[in-house]
Amino acid sequence: MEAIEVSENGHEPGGANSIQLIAFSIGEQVYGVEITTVREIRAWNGATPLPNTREYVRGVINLRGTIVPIFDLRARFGDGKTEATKNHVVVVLSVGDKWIGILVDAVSDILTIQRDDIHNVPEGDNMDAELLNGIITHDNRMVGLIDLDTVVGKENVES
Amino acid sequence: MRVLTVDDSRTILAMLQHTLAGAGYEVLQAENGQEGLDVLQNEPVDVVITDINMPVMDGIEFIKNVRASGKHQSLPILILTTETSQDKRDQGRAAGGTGWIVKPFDPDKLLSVIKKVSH
Amino acid sequence: MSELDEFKATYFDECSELLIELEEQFIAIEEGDQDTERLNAVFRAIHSIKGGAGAFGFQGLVGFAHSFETLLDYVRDGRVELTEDVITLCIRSVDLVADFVTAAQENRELGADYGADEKRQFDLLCNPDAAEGEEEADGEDFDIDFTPVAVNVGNDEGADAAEASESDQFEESPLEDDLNAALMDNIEDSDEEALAEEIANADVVFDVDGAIEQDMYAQEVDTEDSDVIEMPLSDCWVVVFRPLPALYERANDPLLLFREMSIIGETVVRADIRDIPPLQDFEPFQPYCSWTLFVQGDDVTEERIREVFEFVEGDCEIEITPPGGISEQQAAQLVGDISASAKVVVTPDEMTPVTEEPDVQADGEEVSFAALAGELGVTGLGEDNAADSAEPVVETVADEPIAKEPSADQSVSDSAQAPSEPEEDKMPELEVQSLSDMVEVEKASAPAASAPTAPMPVESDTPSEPVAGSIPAAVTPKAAPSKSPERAPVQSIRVDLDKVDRVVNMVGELVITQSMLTQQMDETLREKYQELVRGIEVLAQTTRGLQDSVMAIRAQPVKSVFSRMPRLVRELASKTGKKIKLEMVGEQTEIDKTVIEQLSDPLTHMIRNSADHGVESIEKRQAAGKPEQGTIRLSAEQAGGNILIIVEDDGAGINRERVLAIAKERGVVAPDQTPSDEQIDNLIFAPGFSTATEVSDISGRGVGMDVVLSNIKKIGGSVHVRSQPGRGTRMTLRLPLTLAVLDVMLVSVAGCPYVVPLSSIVETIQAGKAEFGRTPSGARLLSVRGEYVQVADLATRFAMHTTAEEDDRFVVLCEADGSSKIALVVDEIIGQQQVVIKSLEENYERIDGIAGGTILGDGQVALIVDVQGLKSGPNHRNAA
Repeated sequence: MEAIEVSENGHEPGGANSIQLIAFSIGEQVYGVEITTVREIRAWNGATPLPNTREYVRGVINLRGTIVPIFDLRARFGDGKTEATKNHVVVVLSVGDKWIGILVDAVSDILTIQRDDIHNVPEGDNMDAELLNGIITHDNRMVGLIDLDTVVGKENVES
Repeated sequence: MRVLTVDDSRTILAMLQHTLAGAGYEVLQAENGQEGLDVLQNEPVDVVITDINMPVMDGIEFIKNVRASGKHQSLPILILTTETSQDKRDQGRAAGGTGWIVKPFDPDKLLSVIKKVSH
Repeated sequence: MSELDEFKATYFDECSELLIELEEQFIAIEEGDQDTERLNAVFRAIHSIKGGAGAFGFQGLVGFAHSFETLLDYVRDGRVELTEDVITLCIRSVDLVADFVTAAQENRELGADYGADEKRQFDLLCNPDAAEGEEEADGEDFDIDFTPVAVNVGNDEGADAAEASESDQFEESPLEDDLNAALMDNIEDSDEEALAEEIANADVVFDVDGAIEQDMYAQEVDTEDSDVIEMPLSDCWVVVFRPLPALYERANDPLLLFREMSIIGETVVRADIRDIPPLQDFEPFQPYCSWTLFVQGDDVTEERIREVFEFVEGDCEIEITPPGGISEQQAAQLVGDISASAKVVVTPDEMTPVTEEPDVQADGEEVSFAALAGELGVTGLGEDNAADSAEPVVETVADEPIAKEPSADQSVSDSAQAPSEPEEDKMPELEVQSLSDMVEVEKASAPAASAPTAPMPVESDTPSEPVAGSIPAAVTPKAAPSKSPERAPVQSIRVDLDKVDRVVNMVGELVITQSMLTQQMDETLREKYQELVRGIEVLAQTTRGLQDSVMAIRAQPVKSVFSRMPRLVRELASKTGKKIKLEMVGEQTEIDKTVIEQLSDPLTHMIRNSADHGVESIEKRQAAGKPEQGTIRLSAEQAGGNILIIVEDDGAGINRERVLAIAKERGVVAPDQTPSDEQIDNLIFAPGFSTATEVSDISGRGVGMDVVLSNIKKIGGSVHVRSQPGRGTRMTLRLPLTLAVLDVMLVSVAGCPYVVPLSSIVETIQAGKAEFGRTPSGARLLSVRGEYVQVADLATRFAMHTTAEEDDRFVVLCEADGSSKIALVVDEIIGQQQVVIKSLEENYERIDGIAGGTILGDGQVALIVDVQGLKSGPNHRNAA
């Protein structure tokens, strides 16, 4: 299994006010999560589907003996199920005390950004405001900061 | 400095261990008098702290045995006791106990008492 | 977790063990076994609980446990008779202690009067006359104050008198008397003349008067820089300290006391060696030496001084005189004493003894410690220069390094002879040496036993040599090795459960890998690689063995759960006014720790149910011709890969009419259904069912027996009930030996792997050969041996698209609970294997119909089908 380990304590240029993001894409849009939450990045290799659960959860994978659920981020954003191939990527993240994977199209970059540069999500679509912590601009492109707690959150499940 | 702690209560042993190890003592543990004697047989010990009420061999017997062994006449033995009602303590002293520590013990005072009796 | 929390956790662990022990012991005691060791054990248990409670400040618990302990103490030494009433009181009190412990654990306060009645009874029993007074004593006992308050020495007067007479004696003829008393008498018969001559030839003459004047400002010489510190006698507390033999027998050491004293104030110590007898009368272990301490400091109080002597109280005579409290005459006497002896200044930190010439003025010479130490260092160990007459003595002592003769005593005896010696400055040297020995000993962390053993070089011809000769003996014990290997662990170790679980998990994976390997061995391979096959077979055996051993680590006797039940039954009996006896069998049966932890609630419910609904009232039992006392029997046994826990009562049995009526009323059973007796019995576990129409104080806590079922299901077990009207009810819990590894059947549904616990599978049928029927709602039923069983097509249930031909699929007939069955329809049956159960909830959440996950040999995740959940799903929940 080809997996890229991401060191948690990688050097952090820029000091306390800067954070590093792993940037990944879903379609044309770029999103980011804080690098410190990333545990592993691996190629999509299928998942065991889970019945009776949220439609955007693709199933579970075995990550060195523990069972980790995979969230299809595209589906989570309401754009339909990802037609996943070996070229798609699972980013394994730690959220609270749980480990989850998010299925994305590709991982593009590691970005160092200044906290001050993070913009609030403009009011408008509820879902955007819920799923994003903020927006930054990088290389003239908009990068949405994923709010992992909400992505994983149970708000519309088990109702 | 090596301190042998003899108590059937794991709680007390753990607390003693914590306090003593924190102050740089090496701590040996035994859960009753018999085990305590076994330790003394095989290990050099500088100070002993012992409970009175223990199964198998109680503290009084333990102290008597230690003193009778010939090898440990000048080994300071502190009696760990909740009974301030003199008689237990006196029994312990009569058996050869050097001093006593009243439970619940304050860590600083525990250490100062050990200092007070250790050569 | 903070350290304190960890200690608390240890304490509560310990408490629960002790409470179990108490329970057991008292049951035995109640049954008439009033062995002393039992009484000691209960005493100790309460004592330990109290001890820890004190440490954490659980005052309620401390107070109650203390009174209880006192009673138990009285009981064990026969002061209180162990009557039936007392036993009953004790047993109830154990329950109360348990309550206090629980409250402490949950950070709750019980009311101030909680257990007050019992406490009063303890006090009354222990002290029928003055029970009230006891309570105050309790408070004192548990004063958190660490240092016991010093008590008067008691024989002050006697000591005074003794001191006075000694002083008198001394006053008459200080020098000669001293000398005589000290040492010289030993040779008086033979060598009196020589002695007289020696005295005459002595360089030093003690000028007592001069000394007094001088010593109104006792001087001390600082170790390092020879600064002279002035210490006016009138500002000093004067402490006269005379050890009794017991002091040394208990390993107390004057030096340490002096050191302690030096912490509270500037301390000068003078030894008084006048009591040293002639050599022929000399008892090596007698403390002939006493000391006078001059203590100066703003913080010095009599109380603090007495505190220093706290441990030797009664083992010595102590006189304490406050500053200015001694008259000039007494001062003269004291100083006289002093001038005839060595003086040592004790400093708290380095414990570096400082000596001073007894009479500096007399010869105008100050002796520095460093110089002395250097000198002694040279004359120290190994120099064979002991005086002839002294040698045998020295050797004797050296041969017995264990002899605990106080060194200071010895050194004083040395110094005592010094005045007779030509070079009186050797006298302080000796003192220094013996003290510095101790310092070294202390620094070297040598065994405590090695406090310098004092030789008694009583007689010496030359000033320095006998002194030196005495040193090797003093030093020898110090050489005792202080390093030795760590002590081997005793009997058992405590291991974090997580660590064990990691091993369990890995062993589980190993088992699976091994079984996968075995499966891969097809016939061709077997023929070709026989060695490999044998190797895999050995691996299989070893792996099984390893698995068993690891599981055994986690296994615990069910006793830890059972032991909570007697109390429960007692409480239930008293609440219901019934008479109930609890019998327990097989408490030593071992089950996985996790299973045990999950067992407590279901078992409690079952016992409650038996006591509340099973066992009849005394009147009813009498009417039925049964013994007044009902019996609940709780047993555990191993049956194959399962543990059976059975709760059985000899009560009225289940009222089936009523159960059925309620079940129909609540929709648990369809109105037109006519379940069998057995099915009716098992309805009590059905969700939403509770037989108690009146919410009884005992069973009716808002939850019924369905809780039992769901809890037991959670741990992979099942519940079954059998009842005989008028005769009793038997409830059987069937539990897996372990939770971690499960024997399963691997199936696939729409290409996805699922596993079904083998323990729930009755049989598998090819779908093409199965008989199905349909209900009006369209639901399928499987007809098997005349019974219609609910069908759950996993593809439908799990909303998956299967391409398998209906007739090629399989029906897995499962028994959910008791006798209720469900038929699962799957695409394919792949095989049987063992799997390690993994939680989905660890990283995700619970999913209906799925009991967990597992990882297959190829690394794929398979889901474990929740048979019970599927069974109860459509009937009681939304069928979607």
